[in-house]
Amino acid sequence: MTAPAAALLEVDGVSKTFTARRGGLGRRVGIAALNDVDLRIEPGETVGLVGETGSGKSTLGRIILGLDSPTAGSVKFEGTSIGGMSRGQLKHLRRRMQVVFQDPYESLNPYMTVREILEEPFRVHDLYDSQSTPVRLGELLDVVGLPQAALRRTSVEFSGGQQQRLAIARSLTLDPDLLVADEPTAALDVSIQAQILNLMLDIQRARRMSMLLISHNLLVVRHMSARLGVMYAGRIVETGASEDIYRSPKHPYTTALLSAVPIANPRRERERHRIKVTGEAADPAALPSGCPFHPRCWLAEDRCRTTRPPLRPVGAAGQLVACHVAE
Amino acid sequence: MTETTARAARPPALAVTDLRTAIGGSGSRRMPVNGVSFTVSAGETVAIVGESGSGKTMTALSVMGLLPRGVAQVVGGQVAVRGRVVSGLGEREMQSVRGVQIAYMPQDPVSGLNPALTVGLQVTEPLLVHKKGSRQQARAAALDLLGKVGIPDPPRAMRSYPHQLSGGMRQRVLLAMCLIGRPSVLIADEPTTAVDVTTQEQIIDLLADIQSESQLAMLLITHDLGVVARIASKVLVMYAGRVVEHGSAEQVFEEPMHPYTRGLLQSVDFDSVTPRTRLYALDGAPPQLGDLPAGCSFQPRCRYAEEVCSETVPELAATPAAGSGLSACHVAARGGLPPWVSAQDLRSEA
Repeated sequence: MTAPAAALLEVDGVSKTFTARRGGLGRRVGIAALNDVDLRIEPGETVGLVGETGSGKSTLGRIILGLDSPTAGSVKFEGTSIGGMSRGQLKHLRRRMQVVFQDPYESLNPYMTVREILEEPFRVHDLYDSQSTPVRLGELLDVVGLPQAALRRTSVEFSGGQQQRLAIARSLTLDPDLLVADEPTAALDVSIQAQILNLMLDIQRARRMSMLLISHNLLVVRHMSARLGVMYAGRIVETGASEDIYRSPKHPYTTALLSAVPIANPRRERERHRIKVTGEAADPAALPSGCPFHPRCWLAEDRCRTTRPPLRPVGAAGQLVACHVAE
Repeated sequence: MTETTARAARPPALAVTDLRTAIGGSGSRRMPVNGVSFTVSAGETVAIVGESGSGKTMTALSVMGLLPRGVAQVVGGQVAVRGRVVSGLGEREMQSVRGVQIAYMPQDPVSGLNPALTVGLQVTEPLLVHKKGSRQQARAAALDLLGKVGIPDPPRAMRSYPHQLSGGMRQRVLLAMCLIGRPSVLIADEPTTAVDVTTQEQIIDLLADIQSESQLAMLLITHDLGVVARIASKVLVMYAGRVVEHGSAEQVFEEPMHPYTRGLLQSVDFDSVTPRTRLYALDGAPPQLGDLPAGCSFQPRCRYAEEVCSETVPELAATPAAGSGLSACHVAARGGLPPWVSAQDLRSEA
């Protein structure tokens, strides 16, 4: 791949293996959570990562945020490898990369007032200013659609949707360049999901911020991001423009994933042809040989059982697929 | 209800009439289930859709007689299983109904299964408790059923503990546990919320297969409109403890006649909006049961609300619109809602 100007974020060949004991006292096993993952995020761009439980999407998010270190490969922020950074550099970097998690209830301290929650990042980074910070907090509440009176209350007094608005406000306090959103709407009700997605679209547009959206919901990822990567068993198995992948998925797993998402219309559900995949997602502690999807794949050939398919161009420009058979 | 009288000769598998459930004492009484009526016939799947706090799970627990004691209680209405009224039965009598005539599959397979007991013990337990056969017969039935619900190696699964199984497999074990007593009615509460999309598809297809094979009457509780569209024949939409729309799946999805149903459908309709532009979103959040607005509970969030909406609670009733079901909306009742044009239809015409 050619690398023109430095991307905001560049993930290069990242692998991550955890060791764990099988069944408490059992033998030690290596869990291959990530395997040779590449990812690029340009300034102002939203990239989506979609996958099921165990696909490695959240591990990748944690490595990008510097919360976990890769076993191999590198993560570069504006061309500088995060792995080689000093503590001071890392602390500075944390101002520029922020995160919103799935469950705001878990990620907000219930004993702190909203004012304390929003002031904390300023204090941690020695940026608190008695003049400008309060003004900034007021602006942030406006941006996320919470009343100014919220400042005096604790987060538990708010509904799930409002708590997620608060978590988003906190992530914006120091004006980050990259927001990692890990399942930001998975814990919310349907009618609230659309509100939060709209808020994220507005913010991202107004600030020209980059965003990595991690979700199990292909429809949400496709709606929010121009480019996306589909993950399976620790690998990106398909990547490209979201519309290309949505209209014409090339990897059998992507096809199956799209097919599995039910459409809220009984007539269309009856009429559509569904591809049903059998079995369960590959176990990262016991990955199959060759292509990790081959035991569930209806197109699998001999080479799929023996040789791991690399990402290669298939379909539209920029569409890459890790499949021997796809065309 | 007209449907019930028409089929009076053979009562529906489950008939719920004007069910009311209360939480709290007289001073702070809240009604998580407020006048809910529906029937489920053999071989039919009825879905209750709603968001958290809408009362859908409380409806299921009320039907099962599984409300948390001292916290919530049924204060009105009637539940009948195959024509026999079971609401008001004592706990001992109810135990002979639960698991045998009507089974409940809870949302979370982790809390639905006992981590300290093998799958085999748990799946055979309903038969042994109800003395419906010997240990050997129960074991044979369990092995057969585990195979039917798609467990690859039933004898091995029988010896396993729940934590040794994947989420999808636990969900299947739970289903086998519910079905082993051969109930007429299965209540499945969010059966796919805790599992991945491809597993969800397998579980939903499995439920549909088992149901059509055994003529089970199924009540599906879910927040997922896509899952409803895939398997339900009738739909109830709940909001703040009341049914706001009730009809066949075709009626509710193709000709929704409650502004809340319309809002829900639009907010998940990614296909009708340009990618990376704002989605249709309902304003605000569902109300707290202790602090319901006057009149229609949905009125503060409703784009069609009129004066009457904040004065009287609308009755669930037929609307003048052709092809629609029942709606609890003043505006719909007088034919005042604009025609529903599904975004999908607009696209296919273009």
